[in-house]
Amino acid sequence: MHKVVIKPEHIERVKRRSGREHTVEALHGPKTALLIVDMQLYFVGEGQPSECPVAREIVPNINLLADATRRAGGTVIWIQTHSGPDSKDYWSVYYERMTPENSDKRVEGMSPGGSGFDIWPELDVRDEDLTIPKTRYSAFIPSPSKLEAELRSRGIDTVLVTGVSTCTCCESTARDAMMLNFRTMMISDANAAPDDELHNATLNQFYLQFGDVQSTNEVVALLEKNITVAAAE
Amino acid sequence: MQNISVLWPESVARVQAQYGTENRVGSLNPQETALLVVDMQKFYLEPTSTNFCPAALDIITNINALAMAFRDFGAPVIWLRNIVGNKDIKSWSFFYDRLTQKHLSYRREKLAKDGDGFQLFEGMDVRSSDRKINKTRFSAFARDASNIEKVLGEYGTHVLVVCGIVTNVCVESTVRDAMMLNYEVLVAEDACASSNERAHEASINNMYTHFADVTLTSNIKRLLGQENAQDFKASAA
Repeated sequence: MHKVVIKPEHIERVKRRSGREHTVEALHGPKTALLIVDMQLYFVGEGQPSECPVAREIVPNINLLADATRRAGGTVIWIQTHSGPDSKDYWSVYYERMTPENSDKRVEGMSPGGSGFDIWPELDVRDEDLTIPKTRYSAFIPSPSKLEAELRSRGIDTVLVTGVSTCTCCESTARDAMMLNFRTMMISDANAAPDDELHNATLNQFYLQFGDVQSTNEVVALLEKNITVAAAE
Repeated sequence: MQNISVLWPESVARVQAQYGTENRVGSLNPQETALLVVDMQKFYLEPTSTNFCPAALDIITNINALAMAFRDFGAPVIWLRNIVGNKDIKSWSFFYDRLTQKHLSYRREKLAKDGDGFQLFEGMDVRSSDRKINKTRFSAFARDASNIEKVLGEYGTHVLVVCGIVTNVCVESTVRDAMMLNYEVLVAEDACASSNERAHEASINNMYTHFADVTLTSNIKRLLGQENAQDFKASAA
């Protein structure tokens, strides 16, 4: 698991600017979506082309978050990269710079039905969850996106970002969500990156400039509080 | 490969493994390349501003050199400017609500269209042939943030050279989105700055590994000339 370090001076700066340490101080279940980015075999499985070993370690946290989100009346959304053969055309700058071997591997692996396409089997995907395809790093590009339409139609204004990898698809999705005016949080111990340094660089910058960063336990506690309030009403 | 001191050896190794080369962009065709200069506004460059980014002063010379090179090759120079309008306070409430009242009023006043932070900094060599684009989000490509895609379409631009401030926020967000919209992106490392040196470094490495090629100002002119040289050779043959 990554050793997460949010620098104290960043916390001080956020407090000065926002008057508080965390931008997201409460969660309202029905307005909240948990986004799980790219937890597919291609990134999670041993020996897969873009394997990120820490991705296997965050599986229990993602399952806890998914459970708490559902119980609070929120929406769990599995974001799944689709890169069919046509992706070489609509995203040519990306593929053209790869070696032909790597580019073929990516298309084969993440085409629907491909060897790395499926969601990692230890993740607790339920019938009531949504699975939404994406074709770039960010799930919000090109815009307007299917993801945004689903969020808006459900009245969701808050997104919790988890998955792999922290600094690439998760951060791009989270940055774009924030600029589309969703209250956005990256969950520190439910994202995985190639190493601690990249992971922490993203979390620190995201916390400082884009949105909030909290841990799985903190987020589950916020969701539980919402469940208690809802039950009392 | 030029010696770009902020690139980590493991980033170079990763790029080499994935793409088979350390530098993907070997030439720039001036007909389809534009220079994007991000947010070199008084709001960030005036020492009296609360958002002053001292390191931004150090990249002025390089940015002006890039702009001159682009003009010399007849390629567009585009200056991006952050702007805050009344409707943005509402449409981007998640960002503005986080600010204390004091910070919000300050930002709103200074970055308004007639605010004294909105203008490009005096040191920037802006010419009448250049284009200015206002944006209402960190990324110029965020939906409805600006008319940049339309402008680039008019120029026939497919390749962007990006510089400005701050590396890890507006520059990186713009670069990420541009790359996902299928623009080829080249970042001029020594013409970008952040108030936090470590954040600049992490951001450059992240962009280099996944989103853009990274080079130095001195190399851009050569890359712009390369394409012409090839054309010339081709027509001579």
